[in-house]
Amino acid sequence: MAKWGMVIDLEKCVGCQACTVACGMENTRTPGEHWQDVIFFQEGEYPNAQIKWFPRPCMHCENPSCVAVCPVRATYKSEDGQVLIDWDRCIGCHYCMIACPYGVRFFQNQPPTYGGPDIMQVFPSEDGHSLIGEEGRNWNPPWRMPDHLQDWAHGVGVGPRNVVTKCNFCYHRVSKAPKGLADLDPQNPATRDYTPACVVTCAPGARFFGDLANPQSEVNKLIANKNGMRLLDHFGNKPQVYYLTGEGGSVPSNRAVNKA
Amino acid sequence: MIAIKQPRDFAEVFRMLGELYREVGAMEFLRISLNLGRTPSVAGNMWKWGLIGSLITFAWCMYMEVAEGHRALNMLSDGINWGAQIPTYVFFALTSSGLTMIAAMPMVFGFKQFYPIAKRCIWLSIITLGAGFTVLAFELGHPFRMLWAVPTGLQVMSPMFWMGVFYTIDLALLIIKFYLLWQDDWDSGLSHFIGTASFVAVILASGMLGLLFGSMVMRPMWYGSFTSIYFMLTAALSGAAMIVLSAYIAYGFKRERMPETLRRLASTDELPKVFATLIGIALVMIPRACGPACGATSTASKAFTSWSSPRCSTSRYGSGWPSPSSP
Repeated sequence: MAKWGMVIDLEKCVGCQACTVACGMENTRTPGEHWQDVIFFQEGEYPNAQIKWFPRPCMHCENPSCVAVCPVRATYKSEDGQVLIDWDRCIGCHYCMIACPYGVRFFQNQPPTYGGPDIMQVFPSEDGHSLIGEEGRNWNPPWRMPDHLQDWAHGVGVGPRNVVTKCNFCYHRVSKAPKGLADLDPQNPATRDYTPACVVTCAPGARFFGDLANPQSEVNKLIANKNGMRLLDHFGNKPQVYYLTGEGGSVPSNRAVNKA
Repeated sequence: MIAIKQPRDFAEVFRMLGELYREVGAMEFLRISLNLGRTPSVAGNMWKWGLIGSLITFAWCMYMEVAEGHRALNMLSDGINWGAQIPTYVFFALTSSGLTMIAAMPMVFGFKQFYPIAKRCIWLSIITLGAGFTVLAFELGHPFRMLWAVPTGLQVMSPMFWMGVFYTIDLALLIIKFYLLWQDDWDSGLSHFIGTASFVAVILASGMLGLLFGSMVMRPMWYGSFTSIYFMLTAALSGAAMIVLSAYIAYGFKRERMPETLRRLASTDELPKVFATLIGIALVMIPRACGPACGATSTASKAFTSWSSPRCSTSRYGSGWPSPSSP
């Protein structure tokens, strides 16, 4: 029973958004539906203003509020610690999006956030896109995830219409990893294929993925040695994504930005 | 010619409608139905125009739903995820609860002067609850999935699950209660029991609807145990408003057209007193309801300024998050 978790070193993160792009391509997300995002924000006031950034995947909380509020148990905590959505159960009530303190959940039926053409209309699905949309994919782009990897029970792949989607810690990769591994290191050819796409692609190597239940894992050592902290910890969700803030990194949760 | 008499149950209603249909033919039957009678009454005219308005609204909403999807109703991943449909649902559901509370005054608490509006309250309560459920069904991405997914999931941690349970019980009790009133069964043991049970169910249902919002610690604007109380109180207020409005609409805003018992109630200051009391309570409770959530004190002005404070914004980034900007 692993308990997969991620460590993001904010001192190393350069805000290049490669993780965002890799995630969108790996999981076939629409533009704006950023399961993994780097949020840019401003701190301080002129003349001491700074631009900061903050990478934000789903936190895959130990005590997830989204799981507690789902009236149909469509979103659930898997044995290996991921918070997943069963797209065959989801009724699309948006309550988990309300209950998530981190804003990591998205509704499938989305307009283009950045303007431009609706990419779902450009690559329409042949079997879906009906009003009720009980069966069939929402859209069908040529670069979609291979069909044998699509797994709606775990929220993997091009989803159906009118359901909530979120980061699944690349369940289709991580779930195939041999049992008992302490770390999924993208540098190691033996484990690279099982590592989440954002970790593999991270150019400065700011992301680490491993088993939080294993005391020998690299992620546990990093959290212990570099004082890893969790985002918005006062809500009690206990995220399984830890941030190493160091000297230069900034976690916006600690800083009440009072613009008034 | 069929003698007009008060039907006693649904079987009699449908039998009478069937006889009327066979007697006058389809077109004439449709005309009589749309007018609620052979010669249009005030209520019949209101009903006709209301029906036309509803159909136009429904057609427009369905067009937007098909052509634009939920984006037309602000049901987006950004901002507040619950767009126009959820407040509409909450309005109808709470109005229904409030109407049952007003009906409980004569039927549970023994304020006999309110008997003339009790039956109208229960009937409107059923209608508004049905309207609320309909809006909710359009809000859901997969409404029909709910029928099997809720009973098999049985997520007792979710306020939404309990809201469904209590409102379903509420609807069943309302229908039983309306049937009993139809049978002129105002005073039997069963009628009293159903009345009390329905009042309890409606308090639980509206309180649970408040808890659905109030338990969201990551949404500071809503958060707090007081949200439940606030929902119950505003439910009673909008129920009172609805029954006053509809009682007057039914008689074309003319008191002399009302039946004797209702006219006696309308001539006294009983109902305005109830209404004024509820308005007063609701006004006092507004700062209490959003006060604790935003850390404001009891003054209304502070509570209102906290609406615009970024720390209290219900943005998808939760409390304390700065708003994102492009790189």
